[in-house]
Amino acid sequence: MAFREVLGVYKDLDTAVAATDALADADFTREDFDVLTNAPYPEGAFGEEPGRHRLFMFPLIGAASGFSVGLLITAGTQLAYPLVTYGMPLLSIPPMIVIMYEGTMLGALIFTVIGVLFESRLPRLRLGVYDKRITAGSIGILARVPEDRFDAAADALRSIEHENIVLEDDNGDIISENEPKGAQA
Amino acid sequence: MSSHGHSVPRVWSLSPREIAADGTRRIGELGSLYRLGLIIAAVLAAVGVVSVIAGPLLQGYSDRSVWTYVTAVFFFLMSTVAAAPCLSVALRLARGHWRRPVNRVAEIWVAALIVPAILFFLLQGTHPTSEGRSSLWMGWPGAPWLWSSIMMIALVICGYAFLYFSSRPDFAILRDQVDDNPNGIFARLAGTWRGTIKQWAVHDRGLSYIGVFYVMLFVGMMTIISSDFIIGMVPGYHSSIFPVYWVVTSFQAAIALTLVTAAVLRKFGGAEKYLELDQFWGLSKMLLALGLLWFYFWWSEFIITWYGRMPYEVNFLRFFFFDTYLWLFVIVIGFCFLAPLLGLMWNFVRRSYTGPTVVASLVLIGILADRIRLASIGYTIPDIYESYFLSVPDAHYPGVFDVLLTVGFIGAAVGVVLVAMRFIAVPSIWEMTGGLWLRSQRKYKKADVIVIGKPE
Repeated sequence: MAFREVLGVYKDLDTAVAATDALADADFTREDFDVLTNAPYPEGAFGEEPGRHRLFMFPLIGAASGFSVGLLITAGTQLAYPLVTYGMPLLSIPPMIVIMYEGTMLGALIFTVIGVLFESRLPRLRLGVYDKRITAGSIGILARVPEDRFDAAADALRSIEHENIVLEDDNGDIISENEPKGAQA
Repeated sequence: MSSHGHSVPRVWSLSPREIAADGTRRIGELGSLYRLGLIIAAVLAAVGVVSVIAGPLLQGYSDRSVWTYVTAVFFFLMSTVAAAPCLSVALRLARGHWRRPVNRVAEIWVAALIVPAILFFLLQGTHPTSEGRSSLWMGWPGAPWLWSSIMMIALVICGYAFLYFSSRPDFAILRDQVDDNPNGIFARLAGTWRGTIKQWAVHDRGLSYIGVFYVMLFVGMMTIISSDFIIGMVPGYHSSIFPVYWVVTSFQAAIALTLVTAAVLRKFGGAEKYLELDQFWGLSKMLLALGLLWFYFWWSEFIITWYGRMPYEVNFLRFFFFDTYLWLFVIVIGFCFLAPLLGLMWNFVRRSYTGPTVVASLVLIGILADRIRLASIGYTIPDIYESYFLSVPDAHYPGVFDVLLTVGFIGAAVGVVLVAMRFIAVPSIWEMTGGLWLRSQRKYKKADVIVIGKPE
């Protein structure tokens, strides 16, 4: 089923929370809407679904990969070309630890940067349904709903005092009901 | 005034719109003083570049002592510019609220990390192979150049990633409110940031992870620097305490740099609404604690050598502290330990703008003197391959180029930060706004107090 997005822009926290209540009254669930803000609010302030992500996996995988590469470079080369000096152990562990530490940190760092970009879906080409007023301090309630319930969501968002309603039309074009600070494609 | 005798910060009475508008105004209206500072910094940077070319680079790498002051300014910048983001990370992890205006003041210095990074690669030519002498690397292939370079590159990548991810929500604010150009720099930097719940959750976690990695890389890099540039260059000098002293004093310098930057921004940067007594008071307490730690780590190292009293240990003491570089050491102990102790032990001094700023300025001078002393120790010993430190070299005094390049590269670092402030809001807009929901100003009988919400 096709989904469409509609955004209600509200002046303050009270009207934004009222808009989420209006969506709930229209039988929409917490999974059906998102909140756009210019600063982080305490989790659950809008009764929204918590932002789930798997970012913690990225540094773990990166660190394991980096550690493995460090171990391979250090222990691998010493075992591949064994040179016993004065009867000392073949593996010189203290300097190996330094290089394995570097590998672990570098791997964890690179994977975390990739993870942050991936998990926040930054490589998108378009902003989509959006309003510049959000970064000036307004709050956006973004409903992503099936085609057949789109009008109900838009009406619920309109029912609360709002600054703007931005929506996708049937052709996927973005329409702002209150220009000039309208939608950004 | 509250019952503590300090004023309730004005910023918490502003609305989110007022904070956003003020932040965008500060970016848009950088005045004539800013331009003057930028011109001075650019001139100093040019002087620094010319001095390093005309001085050490033209003389080559055969005599390491000509690189002493390049090393000193590299040490100083690593101890200040590169250490400052660690303060931001620590304050973030502690989740205090007074730190919100301070975070960006500390982490903006990471923008200048490119300056010590360039100096680091210039200094790679001064390192002999690690074979045949005491070294962290024990003759490992490619050491010390390859492995320390990888660490430095990782630190630089991590530092810039930390600054970028921390600033991204502010870039989105500037994209929408300042620069209408869809292909402008703010649009490119912000990307498609919309501020969804998930984006904020990933932003919060990601910033914590990258920040922690930065601190871990910084501590590792400083350990390598202390080993390669100082411990490994002094015959018979084996110390497990020195790297800790090196890192702890860098944290002290980071707090001092943040305090001085905050004072400058308060006076000239239009940030007086954000950087109030709360911030100066909090930072000055940390500066006092780090001043005491300075003495603890210095004493721990000193007392072992003093009790040992072998001939080469007596030479260490004469060279490091009591003979060759006595006056530098007097400045160091006076400014890094006595000034914080005697100045900041008084609450009325800590609870002021001037007191912490003056002490922090003295600490920065002390740290510069300490880094000059340590660079001089590491770079003026004629034969680093001896087993023991049997003769004490003469003191190394700076020439004209040494003075010019020291001032020049510090100016270059300040210049890079000034350029960064053209694009990055200091203090952070999103972080200040995020603090509004959790604080409110209330009357408690006749006093004004702040009520703080703790959602986690």
